[in-house]
Amino acid sequence: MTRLSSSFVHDRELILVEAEVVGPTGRTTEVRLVLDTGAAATTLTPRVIEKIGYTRRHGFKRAKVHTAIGEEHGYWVRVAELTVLGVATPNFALTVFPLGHKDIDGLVGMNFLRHFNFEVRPGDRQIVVELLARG
Amino acid sequence: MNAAEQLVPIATEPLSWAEICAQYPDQFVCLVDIAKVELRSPEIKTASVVGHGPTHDTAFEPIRGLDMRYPRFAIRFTGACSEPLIRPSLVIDDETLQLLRS
Repeated sequence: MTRLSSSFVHDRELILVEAEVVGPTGRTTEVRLVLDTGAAATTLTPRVIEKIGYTRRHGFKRAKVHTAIGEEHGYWVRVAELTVLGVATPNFALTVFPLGHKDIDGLVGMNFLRHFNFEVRPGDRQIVVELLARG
Repeated sequence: MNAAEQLVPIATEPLSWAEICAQYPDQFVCLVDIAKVELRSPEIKTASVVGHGPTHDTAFEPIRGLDMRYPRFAIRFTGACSEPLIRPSLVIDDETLQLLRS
C-alpha cells in the first residue's frame, strides 16, 4: 500500500494544500487550494484557469452555485492534469468559479478526494494519503 | 539584442519568501524556479520574481505568451488577505451527480 505524506499550512483555520494544474499546452501553475470535504466538486478560480490556457469555451457544461451573496454561474472544464497531495489525475473535471479571495486559488473537493484514503494530522500539519489498489 | 529578446522579462535572483514580501509588499507576484520548504509543501523556500503588480493579471502579464520559456509558474499575494472566502454550494442535478461519481 503506497502512502504519501504532504504538509499543509493553516490560514485562518483553513487547511491549504499545494496543487499543480496543467493546461492544454502543458503550461503548469502551482496553486494553493483549501481542503474542503464539504465541497462536492473541486473548484478553481477563473483567473487561475485562464492563465494556463483555458477559457469558458473549453467548458463542457454550465455549473450553478449558491453562495452567501446569491446565485452564480460558472462552468465545468477538464484540465489536462491536476495533482494534489501527490496524486496526479489526468483529464480531471472541475468547476470554475470566483472565490473572492486574493490568496486562495480554489477548493479541492470530494470528487478528487474520494479516490483515496486520507488522514489529516493537524498536530503534525501533515496529510497522509493511502492510495487504493485498482481493479 | 532583437525586439523579441527585449520583451523577455528579467527574473530576479532567487529570493526567500520573506525577501519577496519585503520587496513587493501587498501585491501579486509571479514566481518561477520555485523551491519549496519540503516536497509537496505550500510554503515557498525561494523563487525568482518575473512579474508583480496590484492584480493577478498584471503580475502574470510579463510571461503571458512565454509558455516555452516559463512553462511553470505560480502567482501569490504577498500581503494579508482579510476577505472572507466565498464558499460555493454546487447545485447538483442528475447529470452533475454522474460527473461527480465518474
